[in-house]
Amino acid sequence: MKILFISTVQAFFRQRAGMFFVLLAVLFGFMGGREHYGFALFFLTDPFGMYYLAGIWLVYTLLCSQFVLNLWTHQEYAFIYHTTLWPFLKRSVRFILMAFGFLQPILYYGIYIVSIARQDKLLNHIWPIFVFYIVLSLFLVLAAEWRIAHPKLFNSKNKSSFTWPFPRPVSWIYWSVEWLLREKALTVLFCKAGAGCVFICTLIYYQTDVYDLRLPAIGLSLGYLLNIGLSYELFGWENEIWLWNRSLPIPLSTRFFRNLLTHAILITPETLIVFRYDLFSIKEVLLLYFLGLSILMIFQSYLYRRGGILEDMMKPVLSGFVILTFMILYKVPVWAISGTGLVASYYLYAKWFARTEIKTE
Amino acid sequence: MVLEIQNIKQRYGSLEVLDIVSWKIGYGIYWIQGENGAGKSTLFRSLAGILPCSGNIILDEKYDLKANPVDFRLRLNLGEAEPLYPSFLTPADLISFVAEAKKSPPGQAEMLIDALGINYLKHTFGSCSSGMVKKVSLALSFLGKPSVIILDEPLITIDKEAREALFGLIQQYHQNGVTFLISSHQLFQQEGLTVTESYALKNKTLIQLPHE
Repeated sequence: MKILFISTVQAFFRQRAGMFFVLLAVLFGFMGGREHYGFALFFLTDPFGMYYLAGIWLVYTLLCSQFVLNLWTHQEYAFIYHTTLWPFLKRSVRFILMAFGFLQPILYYGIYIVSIARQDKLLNHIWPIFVFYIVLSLFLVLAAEWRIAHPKLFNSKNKSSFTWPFPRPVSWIYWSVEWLLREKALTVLFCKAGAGCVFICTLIYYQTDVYDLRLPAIGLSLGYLLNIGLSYELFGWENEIWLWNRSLPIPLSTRFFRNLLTHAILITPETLIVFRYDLFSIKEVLLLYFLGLSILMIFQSYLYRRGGILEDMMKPVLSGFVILTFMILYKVPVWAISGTGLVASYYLYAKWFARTEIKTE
Repeated sequence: MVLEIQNIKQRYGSLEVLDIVSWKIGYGIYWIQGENGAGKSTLFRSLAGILPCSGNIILDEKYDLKANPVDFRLRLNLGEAEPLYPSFLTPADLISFVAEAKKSPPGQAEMLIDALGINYLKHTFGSCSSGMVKKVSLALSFLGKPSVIILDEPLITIDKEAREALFGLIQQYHQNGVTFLISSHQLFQQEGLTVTESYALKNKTLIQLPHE
């Protein structure tokens, strides 16, 4: 049982750490208690509320199932097929427990909904939640059963049926972005969705009265900051996925600018939203863009100091954002913050790159 | 001296893996031995600048890994024991990228591809056999104009033809002035290579072994 949890459930949360990080940032950073309460009430009282909830939970379960189906095709997971030797009942129970391990986020959210239902005397509306739990966990058990009944011990996930009609550019930046899209698509999705939401809310709020650039500077900075999940994944790509690249004779400045350009590309989509609202001049948009870029680059450089341990990053990120907010509020020019941030990020990158203690798993 | 180590220490968290006070080697072919888990791969990765460590590593008496990171890495190549590359890339992508970074002379990459029999240039690493990935890593370790090439377990998973080609390349490069550090659990002297010295990595340091 323990081995199932360590090899499969833990692997899922570890490999999707960037995605969950962003998800939590969106849920608990961007949304407040009132929004959470509103959503819970919607799920409980709207005629289609429970259908929406079921849909969202089903998507998450599909994601988990796809992970199990794919993970157990890896060569190193050959041992998992010994589970077929377990008696059916024992295996089912263990797979159900494994399914609950995967479904932890929805279990916790279900508890939250139940507590809201109890508070608002809506307990007669909660029964579908328990049906969802049973159905979705059985869904995962069936997926696991299907995989062990159909062993496939080679990893075909990287064999893409689609190939570009041109040779892949020999470009680190291109490869980095391609890797993110191929391997960390969900993190990209959540980062972009989160940043997009914050951008839209900030821009809508900006239109409600007369504000100067400080309001979007704070709001959009938060939006850009939601890309730290992607920045974290890029750190992993450089220092774990392809650690060997550190032996290549590439100057530190080139490594930094490569990183800078990759981040610059990654934050372009939400920046385009700003153009769509047509509220700022191009100069102002560029100022805000470089502010976001400098924040992300400082985060990226700081990862080298911490060796990519995400748990150590939350406090500095939050403290940094508070300091940034005060700087903007006290009218430190945005261009000065951006410029200083970019220069500082290069300095810190150069200082910490060579002394990173790489995480070993 | 071609390669000099001064006071290098390497640790994973609280576990100290390497503690080498001083180690110097001149031109030659060196066999680095050690039992599994002794820290050979960690030593090689530290020498190649992959794992940052304390102390100094100096190449050709002038290139310090910390002071001249680019010049150092241009002249020291590493072929890893169990190479891992991004699975969506192809050997062709990777070889051209590394050839450019290592300032490989024209035609060198093609020569190595041909010599080692790398047939699946356009297949992604995800679909390549471990032997093919190993051949690519060996080709990468010969790119450019290195003065030291480290080969960590170069013989595992490769076929007989590639093995013969590999020893041919080692002899050819060695005649051109390249020093080799080779770790292998298999004997390779019967392939015509003259080992200058043998060292064992034991108790976190390198100990010279008597000539056999």
